[in-house]
Amino acid sequence: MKKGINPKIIDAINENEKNAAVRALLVTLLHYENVISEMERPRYGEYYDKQIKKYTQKWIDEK
Amino acid sequence: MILKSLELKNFRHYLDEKIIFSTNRNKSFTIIQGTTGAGKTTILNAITWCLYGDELHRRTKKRGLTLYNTTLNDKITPKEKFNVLVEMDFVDLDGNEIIIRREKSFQKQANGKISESIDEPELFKILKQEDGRDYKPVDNPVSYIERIAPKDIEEYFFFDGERLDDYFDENAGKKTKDAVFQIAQIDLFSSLLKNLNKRKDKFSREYSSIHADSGKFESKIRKLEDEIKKNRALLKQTQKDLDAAENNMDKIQADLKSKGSEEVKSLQKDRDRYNVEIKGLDRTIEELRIKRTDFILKMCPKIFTYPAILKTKELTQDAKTEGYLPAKYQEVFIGDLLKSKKCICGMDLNENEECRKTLERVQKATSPITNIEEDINEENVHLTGILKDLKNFKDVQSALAVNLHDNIKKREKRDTLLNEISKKLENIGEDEVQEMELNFIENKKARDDAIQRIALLKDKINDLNNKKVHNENERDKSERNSEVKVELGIILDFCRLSLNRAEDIQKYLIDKIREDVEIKTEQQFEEIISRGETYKGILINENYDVRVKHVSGDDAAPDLSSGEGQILALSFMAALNSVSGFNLPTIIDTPLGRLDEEPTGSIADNFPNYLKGKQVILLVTSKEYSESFRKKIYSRVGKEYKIERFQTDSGSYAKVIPYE
Repeated sequence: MKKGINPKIIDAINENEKNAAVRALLVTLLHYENVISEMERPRYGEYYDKQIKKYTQKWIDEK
Repeated sequence: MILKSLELKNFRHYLDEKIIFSTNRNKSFTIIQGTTGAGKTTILNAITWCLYGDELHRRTKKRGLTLYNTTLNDKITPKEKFNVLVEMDFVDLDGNEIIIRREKSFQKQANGKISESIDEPELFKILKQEDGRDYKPVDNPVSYIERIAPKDIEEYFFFDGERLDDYFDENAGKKTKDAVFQIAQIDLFSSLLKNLNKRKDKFSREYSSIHADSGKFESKIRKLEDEIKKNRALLKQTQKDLDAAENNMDKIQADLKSKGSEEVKSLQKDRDRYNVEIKGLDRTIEELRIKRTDFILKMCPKIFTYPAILKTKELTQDAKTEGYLPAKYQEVFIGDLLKSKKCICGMDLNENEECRKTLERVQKATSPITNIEEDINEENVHLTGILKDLKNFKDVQSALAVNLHDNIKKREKRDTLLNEISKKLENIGEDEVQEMELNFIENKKARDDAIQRIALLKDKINDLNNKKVHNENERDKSERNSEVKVELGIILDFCRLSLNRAEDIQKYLIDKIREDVEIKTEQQFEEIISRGETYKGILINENYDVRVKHVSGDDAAPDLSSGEGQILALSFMAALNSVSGFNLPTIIDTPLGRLDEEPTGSIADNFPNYLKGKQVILLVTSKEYSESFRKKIYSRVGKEYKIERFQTDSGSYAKVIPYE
């Protein structure tokens, strides 16, 4: 079930993190943590790895 | 979001009410006054039932009275249906209207009992107006509610004033901190950090486990190549030695045939013949060895599966004995008939229960083995062939072994005969012949020695070549690993950077939220308590212990009056409400519940400043809403109601009427 995320957290990430790839990764993972069900939780590693690799590429491209 | 109205139909105390709330920013209080049990908490519960399908503010989870108003028991006739409905009309920050509606259908049974209507499920619907145009239903209303008003934070917007002191007892710090972390969703960040850290450790382990030193393998390959070169040179030399020894032997044998006596010539001819025979026997022995090995290797899988083949044959035989094979019909076929609900004779199985039951019995009595009858038949032919091969295995293998043994014996016999010829030539009494024979024996030894050395050198070169190929593969793998390691190193760097940044942001968030709660609690507290001389502010430390700074510098929190304590709690709720980041009306049931008397003095004077600019709905008792308190907060009140309760024989109902 999709829940809302406290906008203050998103604001804190956007205000405090200059790097777009790190920002995008943290917001993505935060949304995942917010919606993940207990049943899906054991497979969190797969999702994290995929996102980390995806945003690493973005990080390289930005460098 | 501003709550414009709340409509209640047949919901507990209420038969048909629509409460219009104040939407005026300056007069944002809506007051609903009612005596204890009049139906104030029912309004709070109607709201949570409408949003979440649950009455979250009931004092007990026990079933209790029915959801519908009990006076309906007399009004509704048997078989008649009616709905319990709660509808909330909001307007969002962009001015779009949102209607949230939940309704449940009930029906009076023939026996007079009212129960939930089976054929009409509970209906939950949200209609949203986009850019002032037509209303459209929201696709996933449950998800939508979780986005705009998550259930987890509901109690910081819709709460009971009588329960607020829970936040300020002896162990309040941890409880408060947990509440703040929950409402501000810092817990989500903690979970993110924990998981990100685990992934970083995983990438780090992977990185360390990759061996990427291709240079190490390169030097090993060079050394092996040198050794191969050296051994090849030795092989070449040994091959020359072999050729020389064989040439010498040929020459000596030719000389013996031309220079020796008749006996010598005859012996040499025998030797030539035996040598030819030995060459033929060696070829035959080699061929037989290969043939035998190939045959055994070919039969190996059949030998290993022999017990399984026997078991399969036994099971097939059992199925035949039990009458499943050959199958009259397949079990899956009966299953299909039952699934399609139509018998092969055309009978509709829905209409003919007896026929359906017969088919079910037949299906139960039919083995699933019937479904694979064709496969079984095909495999059976194959297995019979294998068993036949296995039966012949012993005979064929024995014949090959005997043949091989006979040829080896023949070869040994020829060797013995050659040795005898050699001995005869050595002792023949002709000096020249004796010398030639000794020379022949020496060369024969040199030849045999060269043959042995050649075999050893070939083995060694072969072994060195294998080692070289292995090291070449390792070198290639290592080169590929170097690329992977570089890539993984970048991922690890990014992971570490993200983790460090996330830790910093979490620290910032925790401080910021604590500071916000402190500032907002202090603002609210000062607004209501009056900016008097007694208190100099609120301090909330990192453990969320709340201190009220007295002018003397001491903590005045333990000495606050019950009224002041209530105001501190309300101020704290307002602060939590604010840090949540959600924009919802605040609805407080019995806001000054802990006050023994009507609010007086500075509390009454300053209460209008509570949650200034925000929509507040207060569900108050008559004691709380005394005439003097009413006068003092009136400047902030936009709508004012009171709940009247009416009693009938079958129960009671309430009406929300304008306050006079």
